[in-house]
Order: sequence, then structure tokens, then C-alpha cells
Amino acid sequence: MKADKIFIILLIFILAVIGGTAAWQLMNISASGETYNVTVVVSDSSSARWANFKEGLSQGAQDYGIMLNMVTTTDFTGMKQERSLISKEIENGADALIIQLFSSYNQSEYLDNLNVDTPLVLIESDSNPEDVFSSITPDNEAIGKELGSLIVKKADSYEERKLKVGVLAGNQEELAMYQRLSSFRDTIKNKNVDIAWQISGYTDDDIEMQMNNYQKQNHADCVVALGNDQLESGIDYYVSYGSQFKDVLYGVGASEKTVYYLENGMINSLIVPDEYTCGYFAVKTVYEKLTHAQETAKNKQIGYRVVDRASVFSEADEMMIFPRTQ
Amino acid sequence: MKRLKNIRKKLILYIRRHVYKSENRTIQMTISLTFTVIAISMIFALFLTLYQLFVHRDQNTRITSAEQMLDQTALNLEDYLRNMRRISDAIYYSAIKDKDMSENSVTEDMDLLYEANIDSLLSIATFTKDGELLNAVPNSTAKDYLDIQKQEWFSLALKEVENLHFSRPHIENLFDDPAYRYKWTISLSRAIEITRNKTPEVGVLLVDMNYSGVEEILAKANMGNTGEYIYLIDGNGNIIYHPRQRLISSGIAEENNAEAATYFDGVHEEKFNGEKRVVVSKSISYTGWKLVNVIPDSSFRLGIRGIQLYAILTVSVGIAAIILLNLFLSYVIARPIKRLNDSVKEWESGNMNPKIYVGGTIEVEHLGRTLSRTVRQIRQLMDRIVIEQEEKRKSELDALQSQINPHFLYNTLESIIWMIEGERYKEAVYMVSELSSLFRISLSKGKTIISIEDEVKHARNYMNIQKIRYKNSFTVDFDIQEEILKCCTVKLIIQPLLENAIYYGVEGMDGEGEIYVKGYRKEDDIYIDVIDNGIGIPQESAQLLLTEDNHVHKHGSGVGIINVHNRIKLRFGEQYGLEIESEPDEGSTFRIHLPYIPFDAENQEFYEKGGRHR
Repeated sequence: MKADKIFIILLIFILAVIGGTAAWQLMNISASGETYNVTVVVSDSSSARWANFKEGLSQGAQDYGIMLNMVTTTDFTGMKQERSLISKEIENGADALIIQLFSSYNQSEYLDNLNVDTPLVLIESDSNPEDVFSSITPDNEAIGKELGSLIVKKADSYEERKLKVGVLAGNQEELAMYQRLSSFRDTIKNKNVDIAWQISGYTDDDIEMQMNNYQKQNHADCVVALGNDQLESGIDYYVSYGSQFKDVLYGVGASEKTVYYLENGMINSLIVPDEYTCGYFAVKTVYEKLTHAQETAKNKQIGYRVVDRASVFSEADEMMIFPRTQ
Repeated sequence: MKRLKNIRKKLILYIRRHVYKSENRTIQMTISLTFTVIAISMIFALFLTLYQLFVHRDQNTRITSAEQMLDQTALNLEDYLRNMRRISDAIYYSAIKDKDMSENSVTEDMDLLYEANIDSLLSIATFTKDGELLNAVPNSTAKDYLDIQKQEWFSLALKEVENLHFSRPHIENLFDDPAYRYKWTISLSRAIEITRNKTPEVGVLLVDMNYSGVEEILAKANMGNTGEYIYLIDGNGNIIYHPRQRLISSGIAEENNAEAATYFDGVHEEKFNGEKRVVVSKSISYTGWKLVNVIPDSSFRLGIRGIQLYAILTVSVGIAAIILLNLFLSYVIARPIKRLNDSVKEWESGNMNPKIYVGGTIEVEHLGRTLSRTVRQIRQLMDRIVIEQEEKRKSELDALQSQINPHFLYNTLESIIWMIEGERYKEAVYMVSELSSLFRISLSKGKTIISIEDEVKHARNYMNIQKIRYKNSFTVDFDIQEEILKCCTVKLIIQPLLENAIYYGVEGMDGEGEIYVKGYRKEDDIYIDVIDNGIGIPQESAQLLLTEDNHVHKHGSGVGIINVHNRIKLRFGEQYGLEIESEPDEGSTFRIHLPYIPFDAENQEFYEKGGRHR
């Protein structure tokens, strides 16, 4: 008898739990699902180089139900400016952040504090030390090495002297740029290549002028640009002297402008990171952090393609280089 | 089959052992459990049936809806492509054909058509069969490094001159755009007849359509968020449009486009990456393209998730309600039975006067009433047995006592001694023999039931002795019907009445006392009247004789009237016993009422063992 009563009480309890769970889930279905606000902070947000990245962000936002807010920015001049922007966005209710760090160094404490309440994902460049925060970056060392290899190959045709290379190194406070430069230098070390000059900096405004000066002092046969903005600066420099220059530029690029000059021959080879995948995975990683789902990977490396004039309109390269949203 | 049987056997055993322990199951639990199991089974059966029906119907509705959506999208796309073909036709037939290009410029006409369709077109151009650009709008500066003849749209147009050819989406890269604009396009190319310097030759007309036109049509069709989507492939399965095309290209996502290209138009079921999907495909006329609408299984489940939850909630609440209701109903039904059972338990525990529950349904009430009556009857029987045993004990004691009552014996023996001393040997022998017979019948080998004949003889023995002792101061007469002599009676019932008649009736009447013993049958009854003409007893006192406990008369043989009355009643029933009629100074009649029971071994044994006369 007692066992019967216990059995019935247990059965009713189980039914109550099942019914209660179903009711709770039913209420949650009716209510709109939680939407997370994710803010994206990158330098010079309107630059054409972000077109593929934005498409990737958009696809990720659609897949994971994220409200994206890409902050309108110009070129960053310093970490202080970026931090101020970030703080403002958090005050405005950002649930998570996708950040391109202006400077990768001495940010640990700041990022630590930030990460406590607001999950963040770094793109393009990790912080230093690496692998502390989630990052979606290309293999920058491989990119630097790839550029180095292209230059070394070009230098093979120089028999009587060394090939002189100018380097547009960009913002060396960015770990990505630093890594690219380091591995580029390592690759061309002891080869038939000399670095004629190097321009580092985080603003492109006066790069043309600096190039002008450097070229007069020590003329470089070709220029290697470690980033899209730097490559476009190189293009502008050469265009100002006419469009007859061929195979004078090598670099990392993602904008249509760089493709144009690849097509017309000024750029010999373009290394195009898969910015679309970068944007998509940035959103995916942020979503996993917000929902405490098991993260597929803390740090993800995106691929890149080495594109030349012959292959730029191949089906595979086309799909990666050119954004669909036009 | 054998294995299934074994499993079934084990399952039943398990249920019996752990769920349904029948040996400890109450009625309430049995009713409750049975009703609950039946109700739950029916609910589940109904639920599953309806659910399957609903799911199936919902699926069919979704598929029908998908087919309709696909049809509409196909119509829109075909309209769009037809429009493009018309533009191509218009350019060819209105602007190019039958016009000598060396004399007439077709650019103006082309420009007009381009402007009229500027949203849909990127460029229009004509080429010679060698790939030389003849005309182009809006941009006429072709890229000099391109080998037009190697372009797929060009070679296909010349290969299949009858048809118009739609290319896969690609970047338009024929014309130089200093604004660095690269646009996605679908090239519509065809072989045309051009005339230059009055010489007809084959050329190619290229109309580069803005890919966004196709993209817009399909993006609109993909605006839902149920997981369902539509994509477009060419005849070889290459994706022309897919909502996740770049993810597929990057290797992050996958699609079953290669297999979809093999499907005929209609509904198909497929399994892709472990997920079941329903796929509806429809061909786009003229192009060889195919629209594919994919409805993943998760999409079906999404739609009915709310229904599933609601059903689970309803079923859970329903089952809980049924269990509680069944418990209540079974309690109501079983409670009277339980109360009755408790009464029985009370009785079992030794309480011979339990309060038997009478109530509940008609059947239970009847059971209770019957049980109550049974208990009462048993109690009465037991009481009767006790009384009987007591009476038997008493009467045996009394009989024993009477048998060895010193006063009667002394007096009788004294009489015998007196007779012997007086040399009245014959009278002494007579007395001894009468006494012997009296004692023999008194004992009757321990039997209680004897024949009336023996009982009458006993009475005669007694009276014969008493007459001598009382020197015939009274007369006694026996008138017993022959037919009742061989009937059953309880022993020692007439003698006490005769004793009573002597001591309370005729003693002291100086020879005028008369005692008359009459035995007769009336239907199924036997009456033995002991009538005396003595002093009589008031009627009220006479009745008291049968109710009060008369102690042993010191003069008599020791067996009281009440004893006789009770013994008869105990043996034969309440309706039998003694009746007394008496009037003071007129005498008394003590009537013995017995049932007519023939005296034989069977009846004797029956009544000796306490069998009740019916």
C-alpha cells in the first residue's frame, strides 16, 4: 500500500515536472528569442577593404540572430581613441565586441577587464602575448613568408646586383603587421634582396610623400606593402608618376582598387586573406561566448590566396575576392 | 520470434514483480491502476494518432506551400530571363541584323536599349568571331590583355549558334572601369549575323545582365526564417545562387547541389549530412537551370514545436488529472468495501459483537446486511451452544443428581427395606425392578434422545414407586397414542412434571388426587399433557415457572420445570417446550410440546449431535 502511494506520488511529480517544463518552453517560444547586440570596432570602417569582412559579419548575424553594429570610424590614431569608442559602445548596451586592435601590446589588463562582462573577439591581429583572448586572424607569419618568397623569386632575375625593396610596414604596434614584417625579413635574409627603406606608421596620409623622399634617397625596384591601406598608398604613389609601372608592387590587399591594379599589371601579386570567413567566424565565436555554448575554437586562422593577373578571375579567386553585395 | 517471446516474458515478470504485486493489491489500487492504465493507453493512442496525422498534414501543407513558392519564384525568374532574351532579340533584330556595321552605327540603338534597361544590364557588346570588339555600351574601352576567344560565353555562343546561352555568375571583366568597379554578372551570349562591308559574317552578341536582378528574385524567396531555403543551379549542378554561397565556397557549409541536378521536377526526399530533407525542384525553361527548394527536417519540427509542447503539456496535465480522478473514484467505490472488510477484520480479531458496516452500493450493502445477520446468527448459535452445553451439563448433573438423589433413593430404599422387613417380598421386588428400570432409562446409555415409549415407561416407573410410597394417595393414568410412542423426545421431561404434580398438585388431597398423562399427535406436533386436579397455580405464577430459574426441589428428583422447558427448546427449537395452564383450586395442566420426529437411529444421532429441528 505504502509502495503504491509512493509510486503514485512519484508519477504525479514526474508528470508535473514534464508539464512544467513544457509550459516554460512554450512561454519561451512565444516570447521572442534573446537577441544579442554585437559591436564591431575596426579602423577606417568605410574602407573598401572591409567589404568582404562586412559580408561575412552579415551572414554570421543572420545565421546566429545577432544585431550587428559596425561603428563608423576613421583611421585610428591611438589606443586611447579606440578605448574611448569601445567604452561608449559598452555604455550603449553592447553585449559583445569584435575588435581590430590598434595596438597589440600592453593591452592584457585592459582586455582582461573588458572580457569579464563583455565577451570579445579580436580580428586581424591577436594581442601580445598571443592565445589569451579569442582571435580570428590570418596566418600573418605565413603571409610575410609568402611575400618574402615572391620577392626572392623576383630577385633571382637580378644577376648583377641585389634587388632593392621598399617596405610599407604599416602600424607595427599591430601584432599582425609585426609578424608579417618579421617573417618577410627572415625570408629575404641572406638572399639577393636588400631593404632600401621602410615606412612604418599608422596613418597613410603622408606615406606618398615619405615614399617620394625615400625613393630619391635610395630607389627601390619594387615595394612590398604589408596591408591593404599600405598597398593603396603604394598604388597612389606610382599612379602619380603615371600608369606605366608594371610589377612594382607586392602586397596584402582586399579592395577592388588593389584588384584593378593587379589587373593592369602594376601589382604583380596580391595576397588576399579570406576576410569573409574572418567576419563570419568572428560572429560565430562571439555567439558561442554569449550563449556559453562549447566554443569550436578559441583562435581560428583564416586562409588566404596568392592571386595574380591570370588567376584573379578564376572561379575560386573571384568568389573570395569580390563581395556579392555591390 | 523466440527471442521476442523471451523478452516479452521477462517484461511481464518484471512488471508483476515491481509494479503490479497482486498479492498486496487493494481493490482501490486495482481499480485505480486499471482505469489509469486504460485511460493513459487510450490518451497515448489518440495522441499519437492525432499527432501523426497533424505532422503528416503539416508536412504536406509545407510541401505544397514550398511548391507554390517555387512555382512563383520560377515564374519571376523566367520572366526576368525572358526579358533579357527579349532585350537580346531586340538588339539583334532591331539594331544589328540587316545593317551594315561599316556604314551604320549600331551603338546609338544599343545605347537606347541599354538606357531603357539600365537597372538590369551592365553592358551590351558585339564581337567578331575572332574576338574583336565591334560595339559596346556603356563602356567601349575593352581590356587589351584579355583573350575574348577564350571566354566561355564566347566559345559557347559560336559552338551552339541556334541558342542563347546564359553563363554562370562571374565578375564582369571585359571593360576597363577606372572607378575600380567590379560587378557580378550573368552573360547572355548568342551567335549573330553581322554585316561588314556588305559581307555577312558570324559574330557574337553579349548582353551582361546585372546579377543582382537574379539575386533579388531569389533573395525575396529566401526571406523566411524557418530554415527552408531556395537555391539555383545550372544543368551541371553548379550553384548560380545560394543564400549561403560564399560559405559553401569557403568550405564552411555544404550543399547537395550535385545530386539535386539529377532530380526530375517534383518532390524528393534526401538525406544530407545526416539530416533528412524534403527537396522540391523545378526546371527553368530555356536555360537548363533548376530551382531547388530545401525543407530540412528541423524546419518541419520548428513549425510544430509549439504544438508538440502544447500536446505534452495537455497530455501530462490530462494524465495527472486522470490519475487523481481515478484515485478519488476508486476510493469512493472501494471505501464501503474497505469498511466492510474492516468490520470483518474486527470480527476476525475476536470481537464477537462487531459493528458490521452496512452501506455503499446495493451489492456492498447487501453483503454487509447479510454479514451482519450471519454474525448475529453465529452469535446466537454460539450462545445457544453455550446454553445448550450448560443445560446439558446441568441436566446431566441434575439427572445424575436425581439418579443418586439420596432423598428419593433413601426413601425408596427405605420403602423396600420396610417391605422386606414386613416380608412383603413381592412388593419389594416390584419396587426394586421399578427402580432399576427408572435408573436404566435415566441413564439410557448416556443418550439424551430416547423414544417417547421409554420416556413414558420412565414416568410409569416413577409413578409406580411414588404411588407405593404415597400409599396410593393419588391416581395416575397414562393415555398415550400408539403412533407417538416411536417418536423422539428428550429424556426426563415427563417425570419432573409428575413430580411437580405430586408435590404442588395432589399431595395432601387424601386420595382424591388425580394425575392424568395424555400423549397425542396433532399434525406434525406431539403433545404430552400432565394434568392434575390439584390446588393449581395462579396463571401469572405459572408463566414465571418457565422464566425463573427454579432451584432443585428438595423433595423431588431434582430436575426443575424450567430445565425441562429449556432442554426441549434447545433440542427442538423455540416453538417447542412447556406450556402451563392452571387455575387455583382447579388443577394444572403441564403440556409438553414436541415435534413429531420418528424415533430411529438416524434421527437419534442427528438430534444427539445438536441438529436443529426445522
